[in-house]
Amino acid sequence: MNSHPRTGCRALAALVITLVASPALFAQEGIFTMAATEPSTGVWMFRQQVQYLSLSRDPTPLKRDVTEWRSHTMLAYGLTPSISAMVMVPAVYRDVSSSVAGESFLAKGLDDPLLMAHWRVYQNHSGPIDTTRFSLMTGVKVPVGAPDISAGRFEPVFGGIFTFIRGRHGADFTLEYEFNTGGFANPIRAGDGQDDAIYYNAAYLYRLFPAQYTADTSEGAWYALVEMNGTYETDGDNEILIAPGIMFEGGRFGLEFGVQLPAWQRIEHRPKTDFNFTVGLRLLF
Amino acid sequence: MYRYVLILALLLLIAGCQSTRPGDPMPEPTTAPTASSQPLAGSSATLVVNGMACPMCKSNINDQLLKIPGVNKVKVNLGTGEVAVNFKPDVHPTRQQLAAAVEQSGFTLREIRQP
Repeated sequence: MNSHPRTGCRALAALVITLVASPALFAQEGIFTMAATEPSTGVWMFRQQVQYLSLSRDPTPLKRDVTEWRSHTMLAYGLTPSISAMVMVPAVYRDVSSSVAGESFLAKGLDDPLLMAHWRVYQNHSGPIDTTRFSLMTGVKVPVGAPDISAGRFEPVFGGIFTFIRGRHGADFTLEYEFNTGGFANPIRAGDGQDDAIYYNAAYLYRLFPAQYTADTSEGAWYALVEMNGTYETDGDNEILIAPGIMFEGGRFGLEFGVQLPAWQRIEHRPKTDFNFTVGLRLLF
Repeated sequence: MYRYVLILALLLLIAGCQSTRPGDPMPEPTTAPTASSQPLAGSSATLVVNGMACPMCKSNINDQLLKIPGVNKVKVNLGTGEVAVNFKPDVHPTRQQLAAAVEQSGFTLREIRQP
């Protein structure tokens, strides 16, 4: 594993930004795309996702096939009406098989936790349900993960989130830049390499039920959603995944199920995504 | 490092331009929600709130309103944005308290109605 210089400056800058800003979300939010909605002041939100993914068709000489279980545990807290803080702790069980001797391995343990902040800098509520919001997000991945999983360096991230809800229709757009100060010479997943990564996502949510909220139908809602999840890395790799899903959101909890499938891939430095199944739970308390 | 200075400057610029800030006047309320610090008369009030887009939003505003002394029960209609607030018999909330709770929830108070 190599590392880049100036890591200290990058990490310090990210931490400074994190202190003045902050994250959260979850309400009417996509499965793989964040929304510019936050828990209100003093409110905690918990989110747990479990993912099973497969990667293959490795264009590198390593010819790796990968199956992986991932757990994403997230906790967010509303600091003010417009600022929230979040920590996300990933755990990984990764099975890598390669036709090259010595390149097959099993890695398990924690991946680097992400400390993040969301700062809603614009909102316009034009109707009882209708809202338009824009948030800034910033954070840093802390290199305390297990060997063969951790990037080994503080990795700052920052970006923006735009959310637009009109009646039964909702849309979220995110753009996120990750400074990969550490990383792997032979990465497996998008963003794991030594080149910076840009994540670009869009989600469309349609409220299936209730068609119209009333005092008696405000307790929960079913949504169908479809997302486009893209990752561009500065080494030239680019991948777009399409992710249909379904979600239930109650007043205190939410359930979600989605699958990511490849739509377009131009990848030369790592295996390509075959699929990613994700189930998740959201709790408000 | 130059890159981070630019990012920080951009963040500060956007923050300075944000349209909704704590303490800003509410846009076009039918009545002045923060005008009175006197306890409201009667046994209930209806808040008209914009921006509650989902069931978790309902819980957010519910939690903030129930923190106010004197608020006994809250019922939210997401479709109309109406939040019915029932008061305790002995203590009543003020308009300021109700308006602050809506603001803490991250939504926009349009009006406070009373029968």
